[in-house]
Amino acid sequence: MSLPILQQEGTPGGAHGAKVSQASAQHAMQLSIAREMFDHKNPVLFTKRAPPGITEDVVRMISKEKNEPDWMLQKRLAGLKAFKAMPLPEWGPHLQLDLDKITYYLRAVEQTNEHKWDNVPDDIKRTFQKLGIPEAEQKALAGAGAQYESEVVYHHLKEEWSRKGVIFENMDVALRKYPELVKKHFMTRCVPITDHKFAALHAAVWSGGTFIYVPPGVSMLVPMQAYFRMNSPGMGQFEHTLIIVDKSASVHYIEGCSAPQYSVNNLHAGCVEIFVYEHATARYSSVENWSKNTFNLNTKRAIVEEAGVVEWVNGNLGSNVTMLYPCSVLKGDRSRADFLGVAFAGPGQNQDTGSKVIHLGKDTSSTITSKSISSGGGITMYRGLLRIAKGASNAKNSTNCDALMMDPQSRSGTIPVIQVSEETADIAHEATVGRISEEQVFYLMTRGLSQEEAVRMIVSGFMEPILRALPMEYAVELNRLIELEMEGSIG
Amino acid sequence: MNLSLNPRLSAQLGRNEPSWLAATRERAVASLSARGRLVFLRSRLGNNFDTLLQGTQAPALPAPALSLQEAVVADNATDNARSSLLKDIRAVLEQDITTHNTLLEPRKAGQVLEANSAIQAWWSAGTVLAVPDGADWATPCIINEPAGISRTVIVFGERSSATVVLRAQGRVRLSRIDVVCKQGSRPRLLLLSSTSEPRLLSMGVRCEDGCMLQLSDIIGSQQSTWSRIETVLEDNVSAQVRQGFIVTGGTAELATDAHHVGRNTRSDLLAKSAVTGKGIARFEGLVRIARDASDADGQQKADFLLLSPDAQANAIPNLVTDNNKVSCAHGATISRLDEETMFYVRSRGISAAQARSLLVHGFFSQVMHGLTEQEHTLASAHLHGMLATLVESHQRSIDPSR
Repeated sequence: MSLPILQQEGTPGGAHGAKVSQASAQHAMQLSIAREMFDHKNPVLFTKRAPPGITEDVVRMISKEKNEPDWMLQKRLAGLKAFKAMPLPEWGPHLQLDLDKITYYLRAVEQTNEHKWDNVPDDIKRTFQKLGIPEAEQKALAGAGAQYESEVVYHHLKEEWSRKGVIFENMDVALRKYPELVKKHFMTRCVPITDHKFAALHAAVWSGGTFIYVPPGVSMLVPMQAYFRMNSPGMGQFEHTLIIVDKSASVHYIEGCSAPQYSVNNLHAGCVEIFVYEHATARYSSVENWSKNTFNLNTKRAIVEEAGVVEWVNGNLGSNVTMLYPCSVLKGDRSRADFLGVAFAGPGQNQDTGSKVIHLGKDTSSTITSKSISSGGGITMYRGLLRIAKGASNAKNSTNCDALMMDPQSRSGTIPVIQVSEETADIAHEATVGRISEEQVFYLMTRGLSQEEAVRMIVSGFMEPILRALPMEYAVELNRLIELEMEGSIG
Repeated sequence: MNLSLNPRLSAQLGRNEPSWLAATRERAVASLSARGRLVFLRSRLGNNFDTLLQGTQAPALPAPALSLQEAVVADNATDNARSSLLKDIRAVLEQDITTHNTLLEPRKAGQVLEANSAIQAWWSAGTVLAVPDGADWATPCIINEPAGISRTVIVFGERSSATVVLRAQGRVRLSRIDVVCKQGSRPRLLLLSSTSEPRLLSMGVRCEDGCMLQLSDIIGSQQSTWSRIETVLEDNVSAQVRQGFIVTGGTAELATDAHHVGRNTRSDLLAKSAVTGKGIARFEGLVRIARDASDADGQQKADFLLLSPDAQANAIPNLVTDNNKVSCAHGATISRLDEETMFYVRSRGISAAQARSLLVHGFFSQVMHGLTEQEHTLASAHLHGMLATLVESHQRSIDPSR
């Protein structure tokens, strides 16, 4: 059995920033990933399951099931009201999605002590073992969480970090244990519930997710990870991730997502809110590899205070339609945002992604690097927004979007919107679309590589800036996944 | 008389016209009626359309150009070459410009539809020009666009080579320019406009096999300006578009599209905008490569210079490709005058005011690339006149005591 994320037995853990020896790098390169691993499905088991479709009853049931305070129930109901009132977006990919057939809440197991791996039911444990979660935690992570269907089944933070006051919790637990922190930050000024239709839906039916709080001055050297897994067909997953990085603290959080292949549509409408306070740094990495029946309509946003930094590393593979535009609001002076994104669209897929940056503070800067590959008739579209508000003097941005098209059936495009209301801004945007140059392939083939190897090498080179920003194991995984997706598409 | 959906209006305008032309007006009125209220036109041109309908043909058309009214009735021209060109012009006029562009987002497609339909229904003055097959004109042909709602049709015959200068000054409000560049032609178009009133321009250029287009467009905008230029590239076409926008007030909405539909095509677009005062420049470019348009090369660059604290710039450089045998790139920059360059120029003993003027002129120098000497003289006279006002107003915004 091969493992996707970490399979480096006998080698030192290649944690974020650590140097990895040549030998272990080679070992890692020999990893093989098979799609079956993600497609493996367990029989659907549940102890509580909402009927398909969304009604006030479903929303009240979820809230009651979780024993939530009244203000959260009110928030959910307000979200439901907004969801019903708002129209579907008129722009972007066409969403052939029947929202009445989605199951909005499903609990697979009874509440257990989720801090112990042994308490996780065997079936579910095996799934996560296949995905390599426990190994990863042992070797390279400060903490790990795992969500199965609507509920978090496992959450654990190493003691050295909890002693420093770091909180890494299941979102539902955090709501009970840290009500003040949650009430202040949960879908208030970062992603308001009326932001757009799917944010409103998320507010109504959210369940599970991660809550992270890093106290002032604490610098997390090793990353924390959560893995989200949808198992049953026709299911909607709506996990909420709230990350608060207090003054001068830093954190690196990694998310992985997957689901098995079904013939009915699944919906993922998660929400990520990141608060970066003064002089703090947050790095958020995610590799989303949903099955090709999933609609991935995600909302991710960060508010960055003075001299704070937010870094996004986003990998989008799988899914039927993805609409995801991580947004950074540079509120404080001298704050910074960096976005690195890669999207891969194979047959029948539409990856509509990009990044939004809103410059409000003075001397703020941002960079956006986006790479996309489309193959076998897939569509990749970069859709971005850059806004320099009046008063955000000396703002700087540089945007680079490159698209690679593997065959004549595929489609690619870039739609960057740039709005500048400040004279002192300095903006540069660049984008290219093309295919792999025959000359480059020819050159590599004269060096003894087969055509397929040559193409693979050029694609790896194309992706390099993104892969470099990921921890070693993720970079290898991403690279392998793309190779797997492209198999047979070359030539 | 207000612009309204009154069918009598178009009937009145078309009463002396051949029936096929009057029919185009009727079809356009039908398309406007389907849209209902003319929200877009009203928002851009104000509610009072009185003056708009009183189109006046600019005096003194240069020799080969005809007024549209003359051209459509001159069916029985004796000379064969001339009659075939008139046929081409008639073909352009017969075709509706009111088709819905599905590539644009609904709101923008609606704007284009509304403007084009209004022109097709209510144009009252127009100019046509046909460059005969194989002609090689040494001197530029200068046409002044008529005022009011107008149409201009230009046909470049096969293997012809000519420069046509279209000037829009004064009361030019709502105009449509159709250009057909036939096989192997070398059309050179120079658009020079500077209007103090709100203006809407819709332009379509169709380039047939092997044509090499050079289009230079210099627009001065003091009030709201809306301009949409669409170029269609068939096989082996190469199109170079150079645009300079000087926005001193109001909102200038500028869109330039290159649709690659044939094989082996090349488009190169450069748009430079300087914005001052409370001006807002919105530029939207589109390079679109159709599925069968292999071996396409599409380049697009938009640069903005912000010269006052209240100036705004919005850029949307779109790129949509359906074919992988392409090489496309686009870029956009937004900045103010570079301080280091300013310092360098000043260190050579040049005053701040002069240095600023030099830099602004330098910013636009690329727009003039590729022009012949005669074209250059015309374009630079136009540009420099506008830049003098621009630099002056910029100077004032920095130093109000002047």
